[in-house]
Amino acid sequence: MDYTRQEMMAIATGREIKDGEMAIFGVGLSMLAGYFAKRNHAPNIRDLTEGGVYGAFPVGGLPWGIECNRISSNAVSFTNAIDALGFLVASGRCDVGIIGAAQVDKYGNVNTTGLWADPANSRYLPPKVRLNGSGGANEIACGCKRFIIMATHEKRRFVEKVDYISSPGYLTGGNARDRYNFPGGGPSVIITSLGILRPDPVTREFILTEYFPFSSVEEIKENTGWNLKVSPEVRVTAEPTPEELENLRAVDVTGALRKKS
Amino acid sequence: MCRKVMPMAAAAELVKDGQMLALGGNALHRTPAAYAHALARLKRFNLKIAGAAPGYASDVLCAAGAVDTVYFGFFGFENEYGLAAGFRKGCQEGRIKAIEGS
Repeated sequence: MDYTRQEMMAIATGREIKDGEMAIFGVGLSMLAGYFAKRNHAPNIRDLTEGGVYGAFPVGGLPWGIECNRISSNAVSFTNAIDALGFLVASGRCDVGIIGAAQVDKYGNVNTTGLWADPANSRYLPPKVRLNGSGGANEIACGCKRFIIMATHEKRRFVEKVDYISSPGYLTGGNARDRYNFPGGGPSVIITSLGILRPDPVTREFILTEYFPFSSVEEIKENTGWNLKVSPEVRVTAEPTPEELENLRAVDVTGALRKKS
Repeated sequence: MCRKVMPMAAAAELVKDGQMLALGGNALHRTPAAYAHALARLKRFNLKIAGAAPGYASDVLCAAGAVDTVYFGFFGFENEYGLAAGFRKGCQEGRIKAIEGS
């Protein structure tokens, strides 16, 4: 079957969303994955973006941002970030969020702030590479009952410890997160461009549970910056069905996910 | 009644060195681009910028060297337009202090 790696990634993410849930999507790939789920198997999700666009479906392809006309034009309600992040997410009502990551570590902590030559002093020195900041991802990571992380699987992104925690995962593992009384439960899954990682229920370390049909356990281990544990029940992810591809491409009409594989 | 309509250049003159500006819009959407261009021409210094998701207009001022502090949640252009080059360079060279909150 003809599909790209990014399409597999979006479909795998969409499969994580169940019908009827309240779901919040970040910019880009996560939005395509979310609206794909809405069209494919979850028509009754209560979807929103950080900008407060509620109950929309994109028109004309990948939205340019969280308040883009491509989604705001047919939204049920177009409110604001305070309603979306402040009330719906921070109160713990939101079931699931989808965020991206520049760097992610083995406990699902996400860095979108910057990269430092000496990460131990990151608060006091200028970064080597300044990234764009967490935006609403920190609220989603703290407030949603669970959240999904999407990231390209590369060694420089999948690191032992992130340079800076922009959006908290399980912090140092185990029950470290409980100390902070976040309303949300933490990351449930990391969907990468090669496979799927889920947290161990006790240590909260992310382990490999599925690999995509075009990848392998070896390839994934090679592209991970820590010694990735592999689940004994590791299996290959089901290929996208023709219906799934058709529904994804109905959202991604401009082919943003088909440009490169 | 007080008349607020004025030429762009005169409006830009209202902002002095060291002041804090709240610039509206979100990334590439609805940012006051023409105003940022007019203000950048005046070569102001030590401006402070506050915004939820500053984008193009704020980046023009960062690139012009007019900004020393930014208070923000997200600073970039979103999607394939990526990171804001002026802000990024300023931060990496230590000219701009980034106060990221969310």
